[in-house]
Amino acid sequence: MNKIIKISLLSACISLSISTSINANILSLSSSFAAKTTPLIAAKRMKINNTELVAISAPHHKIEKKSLHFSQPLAQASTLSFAVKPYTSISDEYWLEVTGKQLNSGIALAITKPGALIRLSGKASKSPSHVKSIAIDPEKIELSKGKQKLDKAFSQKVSQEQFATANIFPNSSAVKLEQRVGRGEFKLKVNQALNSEERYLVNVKEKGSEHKLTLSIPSQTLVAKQHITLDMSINNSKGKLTNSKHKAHIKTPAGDILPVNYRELNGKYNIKLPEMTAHENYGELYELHIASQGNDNGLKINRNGKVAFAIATPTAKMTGKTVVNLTHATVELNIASEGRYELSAIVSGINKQGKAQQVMLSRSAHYLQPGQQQVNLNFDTQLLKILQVHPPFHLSNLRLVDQSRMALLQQQ
Amino acid sequence: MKKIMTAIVLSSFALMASASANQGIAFIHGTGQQTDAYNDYWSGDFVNSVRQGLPNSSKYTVTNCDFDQFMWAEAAAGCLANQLNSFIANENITSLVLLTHSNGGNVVRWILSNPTYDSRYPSIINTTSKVIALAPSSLGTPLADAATQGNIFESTLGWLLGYNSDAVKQQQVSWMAYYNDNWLSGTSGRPTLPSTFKAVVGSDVDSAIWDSDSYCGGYQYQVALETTQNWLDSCSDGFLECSSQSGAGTVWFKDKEKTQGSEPLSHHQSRRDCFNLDTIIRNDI
Repeated sequence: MNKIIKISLLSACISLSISTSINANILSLSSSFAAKTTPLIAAKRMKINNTELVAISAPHHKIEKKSLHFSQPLAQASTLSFAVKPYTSISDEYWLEVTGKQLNSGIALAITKPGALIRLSGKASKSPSHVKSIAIDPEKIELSKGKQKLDKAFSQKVSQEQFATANIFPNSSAVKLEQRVGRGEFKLKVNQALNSEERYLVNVKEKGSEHKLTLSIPSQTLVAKQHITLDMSINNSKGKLTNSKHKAHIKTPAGDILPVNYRELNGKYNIKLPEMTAHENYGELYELHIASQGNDNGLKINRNGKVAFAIATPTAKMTGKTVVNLTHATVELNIASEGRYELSAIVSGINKQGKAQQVMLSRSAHYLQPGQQQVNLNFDTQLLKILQVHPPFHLSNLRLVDQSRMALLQQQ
Repeated sequence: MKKIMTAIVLSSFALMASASANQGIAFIHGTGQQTDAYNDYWSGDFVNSVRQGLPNSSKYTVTNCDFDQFMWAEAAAGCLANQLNSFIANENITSLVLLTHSNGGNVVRWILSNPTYDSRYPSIINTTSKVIALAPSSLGTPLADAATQGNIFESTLGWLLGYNSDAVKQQQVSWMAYYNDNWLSGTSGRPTLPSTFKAVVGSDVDSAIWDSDSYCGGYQYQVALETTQNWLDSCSDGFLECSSQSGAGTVWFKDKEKTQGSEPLSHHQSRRDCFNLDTIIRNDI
């Protein structure tokens, strides 16, 4: 299959007609570029043909400068879908942070499913002044219900050494509750001297619990300040619990936490995404975090959930002017930020039956400077011959992607 | 009819290519920063057994990159592209088999899915005849979500949960859903990959202390992997659900369908010479 896919490299970037007369109305200049965990990028906003674009500096990371073209046959064009999809996450667990002092005193845990697993992870610190967290010995974990200490409460105990071999949960230990212990509210206590300010993550995983948090967002590709409608609810086997309460925040790629206010309407939740500044963590995603509490006939339920999404910075746009030729299409772009941009489209031709048929996915990427530009999307003409279609060719699902910042900008 | 003709044309190309090909194989590790993946990730027994399936068994390479980074990072896909292109050029490879494990499948899929992203990618795409993806984390894993829970960077304190690598972040389930829908080929509804991408799926973990099968690849791994199954559904290799391993390309086989004694392959065993896995791969390349 790959033998018929032809890739042609152009030794130099295509010739571009660059307009230097962008009528840029600067709307705002971000001033919050103080030192953060990750450098933010100075941004200028401008309106071009009534669309707000953002001028930001060229990427600092290594980025390809050559123009590249690629076409591949579509064996199953009918199954391709570029439509925006909703995303749903389902959670049967929750987590909280506590100190060593709290663990030594005992913490309250709500359990909804017999046999739940409790993981305790000591948090490391980047700061050399902080003490190294002590891994908790699962033999030193005690469970009580009411005032009664429960003997042989755990069916399984996993030590730090055993967890470390999985290479995924460092400085962690876990206990799995005996089925007979049941559900309800428990007190978990660690009978091992811990540094009082040391911090631990407590994760209660209730595999198979009927109580699940469902969190849905309409798309994983969003824009700053966009209004979106969420579904979030705690459900049991009979349906949605009506007494659930939710708290939400957004975690940015730089690790900052942005509060989120929501408005409930007919069982759904409307939120407006906050202003989000361009950042250098290209490709890294934002996360919407939800912490929920519910009550099912006196049984307390805690759940946490999260979904990831991308915020595209509008660095360029297609003007809508596209001319399709025999060997390529020419697409007019407004580029606000220097960078590498890819155009892609499904190419249709006329088959032997005289009908239009989608046969090929073509892509071209170029490193472009700011300005209005005519950019080529090249076709693989040899492949079109093999696929036995002839002109006129037609484009569908024309997409513009900012490769340098890993953002889908536009789809027509 | 047209589809048949196209298939004939494609088959002819493939036959012509294989008849005159100078075949090589590259072993591509999973999450982690490797400097000696031959010993530290794969084991010499596995590598030396698999490469016997080549017409010339010296035409192999074991890559070493930093797959703690996001798949697109220079230290990940860029490093892999450099090492594969050097191998292709130095050994005059014309037909390359990529043997990946775990997240190595995602790094390879990044290269195959983004031919216009980097001028080092096209030569790899044109030379790759197939990818054998051992337990690929194509749809991510709930364990990556669990490993990053509460992992909120607090600028004043700087507390971090360990193993906070970008690769673990990337393999969270909703993150991989986004990357699959926007940046990677080979999953449902997305463009096909330019090469065959066939997965070997691990479906269970044996950890019974009395069962000698639990010891292949190291018993201590098995105990941990059985515990991690609390985050996974009933079909998993202790690290990845079968649905994730099957999420891109095609499924070559589910472990028990071909392994000796119909034994399952845990996530660690799928990169070891356990239950004839090495022989099965050797006979396919």
